[in-house]
Amino acid sequence: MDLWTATLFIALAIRMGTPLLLACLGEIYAERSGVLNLGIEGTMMLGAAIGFIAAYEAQNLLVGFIAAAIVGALLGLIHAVVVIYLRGNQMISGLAITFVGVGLSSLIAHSYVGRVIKASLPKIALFGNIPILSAFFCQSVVVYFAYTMSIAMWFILFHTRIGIEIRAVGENPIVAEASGINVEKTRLICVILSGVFAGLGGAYISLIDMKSWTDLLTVGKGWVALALVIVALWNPLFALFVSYFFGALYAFQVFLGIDINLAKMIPYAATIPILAIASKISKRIGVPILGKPYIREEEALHGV
Amino acid sequence: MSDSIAVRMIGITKRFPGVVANDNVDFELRAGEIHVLLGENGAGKTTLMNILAGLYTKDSGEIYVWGQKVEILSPQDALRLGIYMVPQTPKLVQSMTVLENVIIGLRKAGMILPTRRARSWIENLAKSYYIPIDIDAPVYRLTASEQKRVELLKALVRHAKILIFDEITATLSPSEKADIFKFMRKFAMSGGAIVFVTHKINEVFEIGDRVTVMRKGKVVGTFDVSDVTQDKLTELMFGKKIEVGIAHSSAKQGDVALRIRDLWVEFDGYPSVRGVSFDLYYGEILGIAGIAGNGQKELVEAIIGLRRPSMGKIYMNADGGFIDITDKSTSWRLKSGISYIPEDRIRYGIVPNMSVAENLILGFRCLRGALDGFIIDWNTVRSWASDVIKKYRIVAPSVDIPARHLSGGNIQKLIVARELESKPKIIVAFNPTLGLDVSSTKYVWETLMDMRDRGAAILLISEDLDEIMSLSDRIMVMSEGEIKGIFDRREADIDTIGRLMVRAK
Amino acid sequence: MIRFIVRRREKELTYTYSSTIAIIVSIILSLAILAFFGINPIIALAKAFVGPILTTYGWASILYNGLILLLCGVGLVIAFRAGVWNIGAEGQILMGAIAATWVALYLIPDAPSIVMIPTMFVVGFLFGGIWGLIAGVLKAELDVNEVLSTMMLNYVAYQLVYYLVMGPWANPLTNYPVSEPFPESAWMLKISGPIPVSIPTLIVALVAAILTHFLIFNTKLGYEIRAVGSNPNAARAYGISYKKVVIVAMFLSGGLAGLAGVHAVAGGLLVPQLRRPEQISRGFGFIAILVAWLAGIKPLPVIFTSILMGLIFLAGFVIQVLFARGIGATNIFTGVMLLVLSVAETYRRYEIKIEIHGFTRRGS
Repeated sequence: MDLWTATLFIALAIRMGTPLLLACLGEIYAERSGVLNLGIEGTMMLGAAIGFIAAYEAQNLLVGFIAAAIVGALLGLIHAVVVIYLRGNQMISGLAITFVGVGLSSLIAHSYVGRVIKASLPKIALFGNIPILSAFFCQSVVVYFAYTMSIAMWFILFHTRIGIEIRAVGENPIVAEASGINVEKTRLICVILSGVFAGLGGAYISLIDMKSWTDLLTVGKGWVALALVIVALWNPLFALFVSYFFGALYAFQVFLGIDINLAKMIPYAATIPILAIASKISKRIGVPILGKPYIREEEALHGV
Repeated sequence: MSDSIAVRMIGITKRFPGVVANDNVDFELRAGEIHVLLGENGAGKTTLMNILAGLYTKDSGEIYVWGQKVEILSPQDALRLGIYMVPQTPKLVQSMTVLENVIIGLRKAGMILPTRRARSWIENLAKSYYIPIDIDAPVYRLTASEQKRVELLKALVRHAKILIFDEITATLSPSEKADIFKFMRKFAMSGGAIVFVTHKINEVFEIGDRVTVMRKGKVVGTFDVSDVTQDKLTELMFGKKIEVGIAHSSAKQGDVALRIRDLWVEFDGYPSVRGVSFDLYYGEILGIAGIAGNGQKELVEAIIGLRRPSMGKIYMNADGGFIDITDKSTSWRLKSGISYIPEDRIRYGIVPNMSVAENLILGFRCLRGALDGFIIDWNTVRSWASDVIKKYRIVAPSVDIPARHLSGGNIQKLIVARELESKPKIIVAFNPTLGLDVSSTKYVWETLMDMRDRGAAILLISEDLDEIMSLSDRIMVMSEGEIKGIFDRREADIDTIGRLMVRAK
Repeated sequence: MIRFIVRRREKELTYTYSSTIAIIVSIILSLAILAFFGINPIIALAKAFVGPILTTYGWASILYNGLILLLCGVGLVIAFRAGVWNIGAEGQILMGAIAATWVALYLIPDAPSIVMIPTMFVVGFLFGGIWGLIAGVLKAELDVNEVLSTMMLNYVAYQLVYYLVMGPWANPLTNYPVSEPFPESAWMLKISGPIPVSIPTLIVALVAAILTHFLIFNTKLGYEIRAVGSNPNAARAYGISYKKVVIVAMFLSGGLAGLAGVHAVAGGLLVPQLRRPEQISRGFGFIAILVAWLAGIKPLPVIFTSILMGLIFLAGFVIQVLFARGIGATNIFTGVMLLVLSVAETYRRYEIKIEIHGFTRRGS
């Protein structure tokens, strides 16, 4: 394979991996604060659908992305309220959001199948003549947004007080509360954030990648993103590498011509051994506790 | 001692299902004083302070802080008022550094860290209050007392003016306790106010200016420390002059029951138990004293079969001969006559959502008839359970109610009943009376003595030195994973043991 | 400021009460959402809910769905009682379907029904069980979060079916992604006579429900399962093998879903053959979660909740067919019901009060 073919291959990987990265980043924050959001799959789907509709009606992609972000925030809000304030089960609520998101996306966008949006968003092209590098740096602004966000979110999580507080809430909410942090508010914000990013990730697929909408457009991407959160050890910077690695796996199929159905299995099957390994080493670093509702000490001890 | 009033709590009432934890309590804290809040386990003192610190919400009553009426609905509210509670076990995020733990929730530390100014400010604060600590160390590598110091640092950086110390001396060595007292005196002298919650009467005289005694949810008196005596406080704490403790009869020691040789047990890759060897005899109570976190938990787990030792052997002597049980499963050991009274009764001792009857057969050791095959004969089990709760005086309306509805003392009785009904040869009791009221404690102690008199071998591991001294025939001290001394009951004195519990040079 | 006050109830509400309310509220809410998209709720209620129960064909569909849900639901009861979140029933169903196809087309294609049908069930149980076992072993030995592992296994199974119907097992006579049709000995309805319900499945399902009830509440293994699910620490401390319980629970749960997969493929009105995965499992693996929860995680009430959900699912499908804009109705029903149920479950155990008040002076 010569360098320029490799470049094409990498560029494709980045195109396929960016929605994964976006969804992953948001979910990392949600899980770092201790909340599992299984609704990512449905949120991406609905974000893709609503984003497409909004962009089509306004003939402006930015409007589409904003709409997708809002929709994502709303779905995240529902999940947050049910899980944080109403003490609902995190798994069930997340699955519910996914079903609703998938169902609504079909319902709402059904009549938009086959339509085309003429507008587009700018690309930033750097290092245009250099192979390999140009794959990374001749991409849509949205991809640059993803790059920037993963670095920014990594920095916030590990080098600012707010990030430390988020991690404390996820690892030990009772300690966090006793130290003066509002556990519920922190989780609320992080879960809404996960919705926003999932919406953006979905919109990327319908607006930038595929530039169209069909039923079940984003199917499966949300679930892979969830697995990637663990593989990335809840680290936004690792998420960058891991998402694009999996983007490469999707791209792999196209180039290597393996039976497409077997090839599609790879990302999902690959997550299993990686989950196993990540589980083993995750005890050395701080790992959030997922799936448990935050119960104040008063209640935990006395059932008040 | 200044005259201004730091805290006034008036008419505080707090109810939990089945108990009134605080019944119309009045409490006053003055600036510059160390006010001891004295009472036995369950008297309501921790509840009262949890209300002040924002962890619990009161049902009724008023709170005034520095003269202002306030509502404290969360720890944030309390912190904003300058109230900070130093908990019994440090509440820290283990994977983060000391600096990170101290900064959580602290607006003035800024957004981005660590700024050099914040770092040096914190380091200087630590030094001036006798808190030696490395602020970049990850907390999980610190010892228990170092973690306690981090808690003190957290209080200081928030400019807390009102500190609550909740039973903190339980796991401190005498020298660590002296350090904390030094800290407290300096804090009080600079105008702060301290509430020192404890159940140990001697500490009132060691550090207190005034003392408030609580019993069964009510305040029974507030005094200047110079105006009371030990006896008076005892009488107020317990309602009448009673002997705390039980009479100890001498043991009739039999054969070796359990033999531990060169045992090494690891936790998280780190050896917690280091080359421990001892024998446990039938007919005796062997007490292992020590501060929590020195390997006791891992030792117990190895003996019960919950954790594999990395080196060494455990032998059991039963029915004619030593058997190597080092690799035997927990189930095998339980069925062969080893019994376990675990440390945290709700987490490790019962299945809270299962009924009393179901909990009584946990481990499948009793009722060999009804539990032999694949199927459980519930009729037999339930009627047996009814007999058992009568026999052991467990207060429960029926055997079908969930075990979590029982009071702490009755849960412990359930566990004791279950373990004893299996006719154990060896009993491992790990902090068996932690958090129990006096009558339940007495019950457990008497039961253990009784089992010893019937020939059982009892290994008592406890952080409560009183418990060890009251019950044990022989006493061992465990420190840093090693056995640091073995004493016969008659030779043991508290000072020597206390010194052995810390790294004595 | 909005404050949620959540307090544990002294006495929990019954499952019957909370489940009934949850079902009613969800149906109303779902119809409201559909109404927003131009679907008349009254017509929907009449044609989709009431309609089917008045016709034989309707009952055939309801029971066909219901039996799948019954088998999966009973399996999930076992898993949930053990504290294991098996959301891999979708994939386990597909593995059962693959098993049935293999048995009918390649293993013993010439066997008579009396041999064929039980063999399909047995092999289906094994395939589904192994699929569940993978996640169980991962959780027991490596502490891998089973929500994620079972979810991923769903998609692997999904792709596997696609691969088979488009590749090695593809029917050479057609372009559609289907396998060859099964021999008639494998058509369960053929031996049911005039009743349009698969009698073999009915028997298997009811026996499974009863046996599972007995297992969970009357055997030592069932006790161990419940103890581990309720307090794994105490269970371990007293000799119960956490690993054994998790692995066995996942195997049984997967196996029962595998049985459902056999029925899904060979027990319906359509010609038995392996087809696209979304036409086989149709989300039943997730809907079974609802079924198990509504039943209070007990095997016998699952019989009722599975039939009820069978009706609701059919209703969603009818709406999708009747109204051009109705695609996604089943997903909406399922999603809304899961959401309502998760709140209902909380409401069953806690009082929930919502306070809205102005800013009060707190702290200083």
